[in-house]
Amino acid sequence: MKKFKSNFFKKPQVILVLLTLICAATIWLSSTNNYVAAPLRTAAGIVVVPLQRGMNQIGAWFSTKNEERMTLEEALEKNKQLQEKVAQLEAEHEQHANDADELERRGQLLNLKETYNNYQTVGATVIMKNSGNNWYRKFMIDKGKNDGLDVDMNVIATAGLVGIITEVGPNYSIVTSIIDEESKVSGMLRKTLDTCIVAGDLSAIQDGKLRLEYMSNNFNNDVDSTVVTSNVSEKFLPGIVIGKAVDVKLGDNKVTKTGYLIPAVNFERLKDVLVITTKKQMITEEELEHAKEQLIDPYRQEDTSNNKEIKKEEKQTTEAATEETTEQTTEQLSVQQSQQESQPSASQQEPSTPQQSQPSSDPINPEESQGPSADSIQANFKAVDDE
Amino acid sequence: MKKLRRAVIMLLMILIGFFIQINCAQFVPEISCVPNIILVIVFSIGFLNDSKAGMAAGIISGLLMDIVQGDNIGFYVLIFVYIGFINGVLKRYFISNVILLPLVLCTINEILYHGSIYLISFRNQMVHTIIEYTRHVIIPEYLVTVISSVVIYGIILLIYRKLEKIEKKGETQFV
Repeated sequence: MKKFKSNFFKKPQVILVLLTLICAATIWLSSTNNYVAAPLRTAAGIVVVPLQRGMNQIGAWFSTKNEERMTLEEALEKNKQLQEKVAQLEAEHEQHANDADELERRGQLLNLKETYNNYQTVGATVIMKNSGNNWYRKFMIDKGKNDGLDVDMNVIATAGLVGIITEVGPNYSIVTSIIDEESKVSGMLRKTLDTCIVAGDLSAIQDGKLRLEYMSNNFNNDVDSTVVTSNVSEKFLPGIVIGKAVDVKLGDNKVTKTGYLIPAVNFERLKDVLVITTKKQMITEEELEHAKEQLIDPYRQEDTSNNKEIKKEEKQTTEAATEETTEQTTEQLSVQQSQQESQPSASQQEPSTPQQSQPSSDPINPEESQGPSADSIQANFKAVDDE
Repeated sequence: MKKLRRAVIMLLMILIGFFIQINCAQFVPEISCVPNIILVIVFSIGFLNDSKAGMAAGIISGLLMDIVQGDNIGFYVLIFVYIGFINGVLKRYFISNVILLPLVLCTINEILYHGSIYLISFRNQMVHTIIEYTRHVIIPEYLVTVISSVVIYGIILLIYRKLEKIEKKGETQFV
């Protein structure tokens, strides 16, 4: 009996069946909770990440050597182009400096303290691209849980949105980029607020493009084709640049529109990224309001500013600021005070329980409602504000 | 002792292959398609040894792939274990001296690998059609892998010949 048992478990077929069962169990367990994979991730952090860091440095050395091979003519040509670009950018910078001054002054008037630009970020280096596969567009960065990163944090480069963290280890994290097949980001045009879904596409990415889905009917990229992350998105913070919409035209059925998007980030030359440590789910209602105001055009800011000030101290500061300016704002204050009297308990609860802010953005998720028009979105904003 | 030496060499081969594969894109930024080196190593080990060795190689390389892919743990283990096992069985039907052998094995295994990945992971999500997947993923990867498989299979075959020689030498010395 004993001999039979030992022989039985040495057969390759039996081992195969056993392994299949074990694998099925681990797949099921790791999809339901995170703790199964934790020891494996720790091991990966010890073994894979230091090696990858070294490899990354060697790779960087190789690429610099590669660039050094460039001939003098090419370098001169490139230098000329860059000089022109510098002159152009300097002119733009002057203009932007003026604009920034003006923005600051107006911001002070409106008491805008926090904007989405002030989110805290952590810099990280890409240490592994493509993860050895030809269809997943994921990459590994050299910061993890020990540096305060977590799943669902947004990853940006200087030019725009890169992706979102989908897995985090002790000293590494894996980022799913927006060009991945499974990635779907709800976006909108910066000026006109027309919504769309930016989806990764296997054929379109061959030309360096992403596909636009569920575009709103009056999607018009003539004025400004820059697409930013929408504020109805569940995981992405509002107002991050994704790219430029191109080739927008009416489909063959004359009902829906089709279009493509050129991402702002060059994914092939990605080296350093920034991780925003603020999560959309953890963000408070108040901060979201500030971010929204940046996107909605100035005329609407007056409407939303009524609800913006919730806490009492902030109200006092606005009183001080607005008394000096116009009569119109004093009218707003009276509205504000009446609103505060009507709902003081609700407003005090909100900062302490950030989870409550989540349901308010859920009903207007375009992934479910399939692309509402710009007007309806703005109407929804008002509805949210009035809650 | 014999088994341990073989196991260590196998582990080293898998690790080196794995690091070459995941760093391919970094060293050569112009490359648009990465050869599936791990697949070649797993089927070579399975073919040159037996099903058990193939399955062991499958477990290790599957775990490595699972770590860097970051989805469910066990998904790649399952696929690579089956590939190692099947190639151990295929050993009975092929002769290992033919130069065309890596090409044949590579074709069979690429079909198995991508077929299973498509069936398990992509068909549920309906991300894209099988034609798109074939055109943009399978065919480029297959071409690169076939070329690299001739080289890698040759290297692994050389290592195994060398190992067998050393083992024979050891036996004769003792006797």
